[in-house]
Amino acid sequence: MEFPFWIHPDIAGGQLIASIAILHVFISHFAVGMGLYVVMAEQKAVKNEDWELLNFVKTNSSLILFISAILGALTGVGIWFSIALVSPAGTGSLISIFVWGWASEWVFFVLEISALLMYYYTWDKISQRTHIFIGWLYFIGAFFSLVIIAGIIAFQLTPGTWNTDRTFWSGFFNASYLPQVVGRFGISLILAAVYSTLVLSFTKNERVKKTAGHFSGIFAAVGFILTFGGFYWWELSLPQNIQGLLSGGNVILTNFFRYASFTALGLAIVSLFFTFVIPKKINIVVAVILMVTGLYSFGYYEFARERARKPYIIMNYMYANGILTSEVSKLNKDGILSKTGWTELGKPDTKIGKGRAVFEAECVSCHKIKGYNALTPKMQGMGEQDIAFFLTMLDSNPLMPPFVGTETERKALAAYLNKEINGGS
Amino acid sequence: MESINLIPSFLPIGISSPPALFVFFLTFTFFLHIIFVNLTLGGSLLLLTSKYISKVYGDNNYNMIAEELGYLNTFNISLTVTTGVAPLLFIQTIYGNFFYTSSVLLSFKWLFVLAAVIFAYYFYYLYKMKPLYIRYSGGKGIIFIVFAALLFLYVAFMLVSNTVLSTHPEAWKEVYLNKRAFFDLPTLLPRYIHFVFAATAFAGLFLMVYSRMKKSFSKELKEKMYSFGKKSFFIVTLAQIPVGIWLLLSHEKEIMMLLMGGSLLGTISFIIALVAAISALVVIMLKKDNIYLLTGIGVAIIIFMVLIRRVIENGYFSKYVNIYNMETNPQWGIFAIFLLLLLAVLGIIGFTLFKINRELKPKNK
Repeated sequence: MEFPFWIHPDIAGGQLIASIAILHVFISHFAVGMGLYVVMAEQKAVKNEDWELLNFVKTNSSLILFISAILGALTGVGIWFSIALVSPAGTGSLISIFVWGWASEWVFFVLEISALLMYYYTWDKISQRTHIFIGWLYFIGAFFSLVIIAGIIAFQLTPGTWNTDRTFWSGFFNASYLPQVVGRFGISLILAAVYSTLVLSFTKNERVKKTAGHFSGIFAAVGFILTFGGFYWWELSLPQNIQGLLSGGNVILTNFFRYASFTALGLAIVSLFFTFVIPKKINIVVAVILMVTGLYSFGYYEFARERARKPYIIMNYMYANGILTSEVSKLNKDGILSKTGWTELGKPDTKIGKGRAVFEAECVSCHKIKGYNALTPKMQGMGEQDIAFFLTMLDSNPLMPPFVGTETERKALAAYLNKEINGGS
Repeated sequence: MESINLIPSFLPIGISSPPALFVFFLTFTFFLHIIFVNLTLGGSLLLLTSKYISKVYGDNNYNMIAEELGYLNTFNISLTVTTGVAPLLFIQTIYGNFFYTSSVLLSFKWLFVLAAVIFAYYFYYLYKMKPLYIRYSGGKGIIFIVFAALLFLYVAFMLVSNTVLSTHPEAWKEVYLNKRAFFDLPTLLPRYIHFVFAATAFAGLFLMVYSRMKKSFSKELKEKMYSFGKKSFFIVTLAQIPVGIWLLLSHEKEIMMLLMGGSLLGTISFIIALVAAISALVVIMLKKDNIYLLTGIGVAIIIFMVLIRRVIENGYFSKYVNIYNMETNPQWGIFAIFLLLLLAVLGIIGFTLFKINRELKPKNK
């Protein structure tokens, strides 16, 4: 809103964030689960003096180093960079409200990365006791990162009493927080099992394949129980109107949530069958199928969760375009363009020019004329008057914020959209 | 003034602690970050230099210095990223309205920083592990370090650019309308060179210390590593004097004067840093180089340069806003938890490193 908008003709902000975020959640949850997997498997191998299993564990730990410490860490920062470019006001609010929460998360990040480096580079060089101790440190660091970030993500959807009392704790311990922690921890365990099949598919030793396969199976089984339980609980923890949207009220949302559940169920059946019944048959094809299914399932869920929050960035506080619910009536009187000097820069002082400035101030953070969340199919063939009328009832769609601004601004926006979409003048 | 109209206002929520606390943590965590930045960026440049020397003079010791730097830098990159998150968090908390705006103006060029670090990091691992045919190739994968160094130079340039652009709101409009290039800002080039040189000098100092610490190196290698580090430190620090003056003069007069009487902290820090740098050069010229003394001087220079940086940036920002006027809505509970966690985690990491060190030693004997 008050910031310049970051506009690139071919890439929509939402797509950019999504492509980085999906990669990141897939890696970061794996990093949590695999942390537990590796240290527990190491304990098991040491206890049974199973040195072949220990070698398998070692390879798994290299996956954490090369995937999570590099790609995971930097895509995490990447989400932050990209959301700050696309919606600086929303990012700034989340940073401000939870700054010491983020700082605490950073402390666990420091622990996670330091422990990971110490763990990986001391294999076979220090006592097993100390090595296992470091393994647990890694898991604690990774797990508590999840515990903190889950609170902030859940806050966006269910801020609860924060909207009235504005304290850290009422924002953090919100209604959908614990269900998120349980569900996400479940996903972490599943992903650890899924990634381990990748290492298993290259393992020649049949005995290790069987032992480690069963071990992965237990992770997957516990993971599925926590995931399904957690996300069922999550759905129940949401306000009635959002529950309604997820169960039939909104087609896209309902489908995304269903696809997430069905693909997760499919993943459960296939992975449990391979890890428990025929672990020796695990090969690269199976591993890749499991990975891709996992990615789809998780991706659908994250999309559903993000969309369920629409039209807000922070429920009932800030709309997706950065406008605060509390400033709507003021902006309706003074005009949306009174809030920012940015969007009018370099545009002609005409009706169309004003309309484009309003478009950039209010619409472009989610919509493009053509392409992602395109406006063209919605307004094709409408006249300028029709579009202007249409804009008065945007929020009849529960996922859309109302048009904010003066009547002149609304008419200017209609003229601009009509020109871009229908070639009007 | 039009630029004032373009600066977004503070968020209405208020910040969760008095602003001074954020300034303190910003400065402290930036100090940690810049140490690893110096080792990573300066180390990459010294790695390439020593590899070049080993090629030209056929001296394998320099090749070993390059390999050692390649091994160490994977850790440094990780720690640079890890320590970099905290200052980024605190700068956004108090100067978000400036920082977000300049980030948006840099857009893809800013976002590409992350891709650059990811690629550079993997390039370093290719050099370190030398998988497949790389270990049999002529350059032993040095080409990857050439790429990595270029990427790090790019990353440093963008971070300097973002800082400079955020402190110059009067240039935003023209940059936004593509009438002016962001790298046209007056302090940007000297500031960038000053940073890259500082990184190289510090990495040279690190090599001096490291050569004395490593027991497993041959005497010859230790000596060569020490003198290579010393030469790098000396030459680059000497070059910092004209570059530093250039940077100083590139600031507007009122900002420049902050270091010469305008600000007490700025003036004291400036004098100490200057005296420290000159005394380091003198100590080396007189061949009285004591490793503890030089390390102390090096760290002192960084501390006071970080303080100078804070004074300068604060000087620019305070032309437009006073962060101390920000509305505060203190949340002390979570702050106390953060502080305890920080101390606990630093303690645990220290304890674990101590334990590892003790268990590793018997094998070296």
